[in-house]
Amino acid sequence: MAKKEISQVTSPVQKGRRCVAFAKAWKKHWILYMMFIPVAVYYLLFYYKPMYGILMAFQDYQPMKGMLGSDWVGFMHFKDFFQNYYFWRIVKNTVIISGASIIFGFPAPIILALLLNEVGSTKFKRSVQTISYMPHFISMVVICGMIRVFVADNGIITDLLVLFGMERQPLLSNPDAFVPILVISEIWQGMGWGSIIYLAALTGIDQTLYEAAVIDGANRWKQTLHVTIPGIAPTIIIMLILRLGSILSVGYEKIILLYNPLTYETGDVISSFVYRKGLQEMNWSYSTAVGLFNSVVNFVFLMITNSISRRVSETSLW
Amino acid sequence: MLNEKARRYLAGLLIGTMAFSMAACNKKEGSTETGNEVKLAAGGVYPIECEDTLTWWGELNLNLSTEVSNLGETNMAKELEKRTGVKVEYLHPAQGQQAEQFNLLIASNDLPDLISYNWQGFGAQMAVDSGYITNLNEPIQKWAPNLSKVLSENAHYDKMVKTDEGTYYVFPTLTDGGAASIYSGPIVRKDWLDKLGMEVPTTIDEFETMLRRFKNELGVDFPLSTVYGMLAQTFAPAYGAGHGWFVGNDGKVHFGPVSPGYKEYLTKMNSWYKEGLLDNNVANTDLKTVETNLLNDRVGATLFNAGAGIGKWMNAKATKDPTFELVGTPVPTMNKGEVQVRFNREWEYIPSVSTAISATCKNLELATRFLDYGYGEEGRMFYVFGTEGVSYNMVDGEPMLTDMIINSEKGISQALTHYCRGSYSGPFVGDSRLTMQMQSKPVQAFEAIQTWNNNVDVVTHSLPPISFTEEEQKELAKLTSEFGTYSAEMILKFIVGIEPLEKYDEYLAQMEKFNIARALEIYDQALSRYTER
Repeated sequence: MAKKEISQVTSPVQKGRRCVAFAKAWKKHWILYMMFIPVAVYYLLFYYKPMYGILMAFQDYQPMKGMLGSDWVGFMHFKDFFQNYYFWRIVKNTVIISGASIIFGFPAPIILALLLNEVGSTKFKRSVQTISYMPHFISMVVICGMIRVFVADNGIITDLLVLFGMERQPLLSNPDAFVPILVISEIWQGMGWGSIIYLAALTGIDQTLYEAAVIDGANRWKQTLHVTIPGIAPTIIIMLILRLGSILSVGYEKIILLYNPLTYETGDVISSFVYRKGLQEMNWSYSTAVGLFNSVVNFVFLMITNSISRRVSETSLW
Repeated sequence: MLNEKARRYLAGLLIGTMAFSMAACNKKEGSTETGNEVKLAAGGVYPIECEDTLTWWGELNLNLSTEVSNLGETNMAKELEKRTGVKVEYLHPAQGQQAEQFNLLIASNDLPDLISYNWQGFGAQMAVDSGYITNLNEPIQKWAPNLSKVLSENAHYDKMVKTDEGTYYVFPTLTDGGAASIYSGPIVRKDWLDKLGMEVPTTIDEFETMLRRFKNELGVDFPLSTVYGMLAQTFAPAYGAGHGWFVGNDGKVHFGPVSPGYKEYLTKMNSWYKEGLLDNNVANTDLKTVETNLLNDRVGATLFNAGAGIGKWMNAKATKDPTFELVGTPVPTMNKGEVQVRFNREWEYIPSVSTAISATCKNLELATRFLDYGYGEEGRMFYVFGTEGVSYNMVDGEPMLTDMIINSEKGISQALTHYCRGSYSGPFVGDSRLTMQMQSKPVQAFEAIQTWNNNVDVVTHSLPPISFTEEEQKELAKLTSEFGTYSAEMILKFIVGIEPLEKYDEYLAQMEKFNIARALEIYDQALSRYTER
């Protein structure tokens, strides 16, 4: 509604009218507006103000000279990055890890939510929910410590795999095992928490639809397929668009806590590279340039998925 | 909207703060002047009368960090404040996060007054030129009589602690050179050696036989388990190769992983790995893991320090398993009786923990005079041994640690950290008389240091504290960040066999492509500038 108004060509009369409308709205909802102020300030301060730091990517930044005094170098850092020996590897790893976590990780909370939806006993449902949320609240460092223990050469997961015929080995030294470890543990960490939004969407489905389906002779599975899933489809699509918007953003925390030179081959991603460059080697400008590249690619992906989705399913962010 | 009253109140507050800060400024200037007048008669006058507080950033000693969260809580800091008259607020980076937090500190542009960090590694001249830290040439001359004296009377200190341009940039942590220069090496289960009726191994072959017998006859899970970084340090020298940057027989700088002999070293490690003699988790093993496994009888040999290793572990097992015994064995050589070659000499100047004054420090004179304390007779005794009558007593003119320290359940070095900094580092000249007393218990740790320092050549190949120009520093950073990652990765892959050793030549060729030659050239130039100082 508001969007419509803005997109119209504004004549002075309309402008005046809008001012009046705003004044009216302000009078009526001023408490809400006041409550919004901290949010606006937060965004301005922490998301918009730091943006000028992007300039660093085009400079040879030195803190003592500051943003205004540092020398300009144009696209040098971008060129360096594209010519880096590891450029293709880290881009490839990022896409693989991110892709795997979308393919395997994205459906997991949806499935969990659907399963929970079918559970009759509230007690059982509650306890499953609580248990599945738990890993989300444990600090990343602790989680990674646990993972390291589980997949060490005498860890419980390794023991289990040995039963199935795997050769006994410390899994974190095996480059092929790195991505599965990362993705599976991510599912374990995030599945319960991620299911909350779908559970919320499930409560919004009109119960009469189920009644109608039952009258039509639909069994549980058919109900799920034809009522439940279409009912939460808009939520799923929005979540998917948002997720694809961060396709090149693989969190570095977990990676740097788990990788070692042996698994750089499959585990080194753009964000861990940025971390090493920026924080460990103090190459701020270079690392900003890489980060900027990353954001631009993410943005492009977001735009593409959004427009595809708008055309195909009429659900989109804007 | 602010009403009139609130506005007035705010204005009043603002004016108040301004007045207050101006007063503070005045006071500072005042104190500087009085300081100038005193002009520090011989040795400086302590306590200094001044109201200012200095902030001091540096890593909290690991031993100490298990007991206190801030150095300011220790008796050492309280006594230091009493003696020097200077209030200090200590700031510490999180344990193990020193480098990252230092980088953030630099980027934040808001530096504390005193910063203990590896300024030499960071690029000393660059740090001074770009205005991070103060050029100390003048302040030392003016306000640091003790350090001036130390430097002018000891040419070898003087040579090490300045840059090629002759800039002094830190209050150095110095040692008197009387103590041993090697504190780490191979550590083996003595009781198991006895069980097998074996002598302490001295050559690579003997070491290998020992590991094999540990595995086959005693069923040890990890005959050799170590923190990865120690591996090359200990076993590469037998093959004539170094680790990291080192000075070769030709007097030029070499980079370990591309130096001659390194391939043979890798071949040996690879065979140990395949045979299960080397911990198969070598890429991930941290000190905690080694420690746990060792104390659970799963490790036969490891590579670590005397005090923090042998001493600590023997202590931990003393009551539970009295047969548990560790012994320090020499770094294995190729042939029997050869000299142990080491590359990691501790120089008398320890750059990694030396203290610089930031360029933004408001009271340079106070900071200089405060830091100078540890280079005078009294200050040095205090920093190294603590307070007389508490942590040490003079016996026949020699400082001896008190029983409270010697018999402390926590261990000598841990107990000491509460009263002095002699067991680790700080702005003073260390004293080997303390080191000797510290290492005296348990006897195995003491003997290990003897073993590691006996028949050892550590001088020829260790790289002295050289310094780079700003351009060199930049170029080097770019070069090393590329080939450093590559090299570290490939070396590990060769050891665990993911890459076959036939590919070593390909690896060398790739290193050439990364222009390692240029990096070596930069190092060579810096080294020759250093020798000419």
